[in-house]
Amino acid sequence: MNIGNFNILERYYAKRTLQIIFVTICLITTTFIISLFMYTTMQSGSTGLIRGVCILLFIFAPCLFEKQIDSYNSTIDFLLPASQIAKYMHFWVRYYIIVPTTIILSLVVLFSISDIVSSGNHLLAGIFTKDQSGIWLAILLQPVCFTSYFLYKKNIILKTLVSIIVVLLSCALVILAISSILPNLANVSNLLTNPLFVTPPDKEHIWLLTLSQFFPIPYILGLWITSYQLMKERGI
Amino acid sequence: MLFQKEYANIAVLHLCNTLKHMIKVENLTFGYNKNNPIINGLNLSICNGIHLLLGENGIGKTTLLHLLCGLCYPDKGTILYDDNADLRNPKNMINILFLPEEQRAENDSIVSFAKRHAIFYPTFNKELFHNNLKELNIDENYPMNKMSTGQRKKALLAYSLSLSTPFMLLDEPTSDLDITSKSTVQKMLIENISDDQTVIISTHSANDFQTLYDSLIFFLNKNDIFQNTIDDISQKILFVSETMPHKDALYYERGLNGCTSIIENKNDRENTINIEMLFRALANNENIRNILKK
Repeated sequence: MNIGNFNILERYYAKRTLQIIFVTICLITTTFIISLFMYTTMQSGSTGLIRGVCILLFIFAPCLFEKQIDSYNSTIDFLLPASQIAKYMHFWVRYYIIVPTTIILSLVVLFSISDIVSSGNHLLAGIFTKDQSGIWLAILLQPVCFTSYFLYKKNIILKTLVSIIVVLLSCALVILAISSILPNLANVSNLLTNPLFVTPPDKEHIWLLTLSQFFPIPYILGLWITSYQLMKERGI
Repeated sequence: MLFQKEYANIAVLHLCNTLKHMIKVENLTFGYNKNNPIINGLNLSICNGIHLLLGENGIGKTTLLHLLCGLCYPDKGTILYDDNADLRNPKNMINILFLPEEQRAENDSIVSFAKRHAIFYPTFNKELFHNNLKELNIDENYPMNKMSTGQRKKALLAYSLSLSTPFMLLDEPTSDLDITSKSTVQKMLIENISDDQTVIISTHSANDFQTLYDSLIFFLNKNDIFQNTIDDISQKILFVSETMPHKDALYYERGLNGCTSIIENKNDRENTINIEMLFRALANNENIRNILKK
């Protein structure tokens, strides 16, 4: 990859990237304020709302923040004299580094402020707990959204939702198949949400579980390569 | 198809003495619906000069420009820019500029847009850019999304011409422009375009830059392309305006001020081509085609 080319591309899109960071911070802050309001009025922990919004934002960011690819929106972007890999890396960095980092940093700052204001009462504590099932699911579903952006021409969000449902159903079928092979594995359903914490089965079937646990790596890499190819082949 | 190929070759022979910055289209086929291609087996050779691309609505002019600049991929055939086929290679892309008829308005001024966009183009001429903006009376710091369509088009034209890329594809550059701006743009095109550059202008109002073109590319029908140089056409046919149709008229049109006829130019008389009339004549008259084929 031509790094110089990538740097020029990042400079070209700097304003747009800043806009995305700003919108992300605004969304997280608004959700945080609503959660805080719910906590103070109902005295119930409402970290679920913040978690949900953060996860949805991470999954759907490419479809939410990018404009539909067509001749009106994308002519200038398509014709920028930068390599295809530099253009892809620009998208990748935006949605796998910049947006997630912005989400995490916004949460850290907001929680720190709320801790200072509430004199260390840890309002809404619980968002950074050990239960990372939602985050794991988001990591699995986000590449679907990333690929959908380059795959579909119209109604991207709707079609992405359908794709996600198809992926989830396929995963459920795989888990059902594994459950039928390993009936003694009590927490097999955790394979999708938290595969690293699945109890090892008997030695005879350990290969199957190992395969299932490492399945996300080729799955995610495969979707990234697919999205790159789709971007490369995409016309207006 | 024979007609199309013959004309493509004649035009190349007449215009491309220096063979600089050549676009070669070979057997190009493309369709949004694969069963109904818009462009079917197109062959064209275009080299340095200013070329007019003319055709009816929906015939495929913009699609051809999209294909030529790499926005779409051909279903079949090849497009070569100076013998390079990879249109999405950055080394090729810095040589090609496509100005679409309509595009999303940036929310910054033309100057700040140029500042971040022109870094990709080593041929950008900053001085020329500011001169062009001045000539077209464009406020350099006014956001483009607040400009009128015509003003935005003028700003982008001023910028596009200052990029001085070897290949320029302009889609309807005069639409939305007022009369004064049209003549300013024509002046700018004369001053800014060098002899080495290859410029294709697609338009419906062919008479806007009538004196500017070196060659004509007419999309007469889906598979019927006419391509020839202005010099060659004016040597072979003559446009005569009289009160009545000329006795040897191959084609004529009546207007409010009389009648314009197209006749064979047997005595090498100098004349100005009425491009729009020629387009209509070629679409309806086989004799004119035969004369131009000679």
